[in-house]
Amino acid sequence: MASHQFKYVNGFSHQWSLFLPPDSDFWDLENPDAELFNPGEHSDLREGSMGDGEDFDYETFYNEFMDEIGQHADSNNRLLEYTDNDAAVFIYKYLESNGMTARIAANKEIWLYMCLVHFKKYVWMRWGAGNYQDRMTVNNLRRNALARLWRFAYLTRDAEASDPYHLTVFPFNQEVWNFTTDTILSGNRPIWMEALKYIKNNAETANNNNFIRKFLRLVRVKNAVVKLNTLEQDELNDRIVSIAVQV
Amino acid sequence: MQWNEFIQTDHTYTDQEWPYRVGINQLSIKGELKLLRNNMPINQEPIEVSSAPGQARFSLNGNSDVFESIRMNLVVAFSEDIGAGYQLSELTDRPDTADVLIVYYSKAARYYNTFRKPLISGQAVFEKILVDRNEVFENVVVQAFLVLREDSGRESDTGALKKGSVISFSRDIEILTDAKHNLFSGGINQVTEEFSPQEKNALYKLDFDGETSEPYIIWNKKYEDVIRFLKQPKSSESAYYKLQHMMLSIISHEIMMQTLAGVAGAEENIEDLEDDFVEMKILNSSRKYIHLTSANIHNDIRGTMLQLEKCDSLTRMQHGLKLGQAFSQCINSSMEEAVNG
Repeated sequence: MASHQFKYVNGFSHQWSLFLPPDSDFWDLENPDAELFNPGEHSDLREGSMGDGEDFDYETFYNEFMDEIGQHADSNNRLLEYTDNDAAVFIYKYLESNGMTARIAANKEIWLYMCLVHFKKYVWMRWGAGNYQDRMTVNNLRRNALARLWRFAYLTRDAEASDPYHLTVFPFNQEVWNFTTDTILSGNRPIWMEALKYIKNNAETANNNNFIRKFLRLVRVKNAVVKLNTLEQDELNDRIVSIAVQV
Repeated sequence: MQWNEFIQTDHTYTDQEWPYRVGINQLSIKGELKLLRNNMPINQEPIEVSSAPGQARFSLNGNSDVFESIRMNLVVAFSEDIGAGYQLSELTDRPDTADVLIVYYSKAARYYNTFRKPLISGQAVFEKILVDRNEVFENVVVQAFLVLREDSGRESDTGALKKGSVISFSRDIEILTDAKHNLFSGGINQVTEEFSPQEKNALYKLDFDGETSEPYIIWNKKYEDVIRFLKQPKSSESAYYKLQHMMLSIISHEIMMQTLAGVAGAEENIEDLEDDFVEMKILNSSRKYIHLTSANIHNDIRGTMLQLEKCDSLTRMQHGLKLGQAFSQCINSSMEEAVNG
């Protein structure tokens, strides 16, 4: 794994609207290439970086990403929900092999920099008018267009399986995405893997909003009372199934 | 991370009560941390940690941006004299099958790990728990649980006293690992709202933590009533907050005095400070909020505060003066910068 430095712009996440006010041409949806953001033009902004080694090449990263994902664009040049899974795997694998760690990825401004400077077009293609600005910026890091992809892959990666990304690429309901990025349960790997595997294996009945909400809530409550990750693998599995039956 | 927090985040279960007897806070954690770089300790002196009430937050004494991993040696003990005060035999029919589970996690980076040891003669010893810096971001929280290794006789519908049931837990320990690169709280955020009428005498506004749930601190122009909390801390009784309050009074008093008098010879020290005080800028002429949130500032102050608990009043004052000087030098140099360019 090569180590790289990931660039960002310091102090920007709190005050991006001073540099890119909401009525700026930058947000123009009709023409995403119209105005690009160049941090160098703003003397008030200072660039910084995290990590060691050479500078990470965002440009190549973006181009390779779009080669991979851009082909799924529909006739309106939009990327639909289902592309998230592949995008998550691509982003996670690529960045991991370039030295991205959980600590670096927990920085808002890394993602803000990536979105504003390089991934503008992707965010526009994926999120369209309604959520564009929210997804570009990091007022809510969990919902940032790129950070959420990385986090989802990080939290659904099953290191012990022959294909570690078999859960990441599975077309889970978006409710699973929300639970993964918004609740702390997903940080508890043994439980999370079992819960996701259950939903995956019983997709017909389990991969819907209603079930997922009830099921994952119960898992969370159960884990408060009984530390599920003290259980052996098959016991844990039994317990998860018995929770699912209750739903 | 305590059981009720899990439930509180989920509004459906807000009213749910613990379904069986639990020795709340009857576990205690004591131990030490060593910060490592290249597998070698940075400091010879370990940092002592403890889950005793009021001292659950521990600073890394200014090493928060140089360490590569933390090595923890922890002793977890079950005591009948603290917390809920149950005897172990009241909590389970099988006290010999109780295990201690150490859970540590880092919220921002979503990392979670656990270690388990049997409870022998009321305690369990955990050696060399290694926390990798690359996995954690922001504070690391450590908590101990007492769980059952096997099903106990008294089983109920709730699944209580089955294998894995929590029969006691400890307060959590928070290790403040914020680094210089902490972009959530680093640098200065200039908030553009006007001061509110109640705060019109305030000169500076500090967000000491960078976390919105933490108290904001008004740094008042009249230093007789220097500090005021905008939001009341969760436990205003806690020694930590009292100390913070006192400490800030000392610091801010000193800063005001130094700033008013002008600091001679500050220049030679500014270079040393620059590494710690990234992105300092003071503009107060337009009566706007100035929001200082340099991670290192609060780490250093916290570290000092923790040491201060054991100090006499003279030593406290000396620490306060030292920090006050550091602040005032930064503020002075930034003011010059603002005036000159």
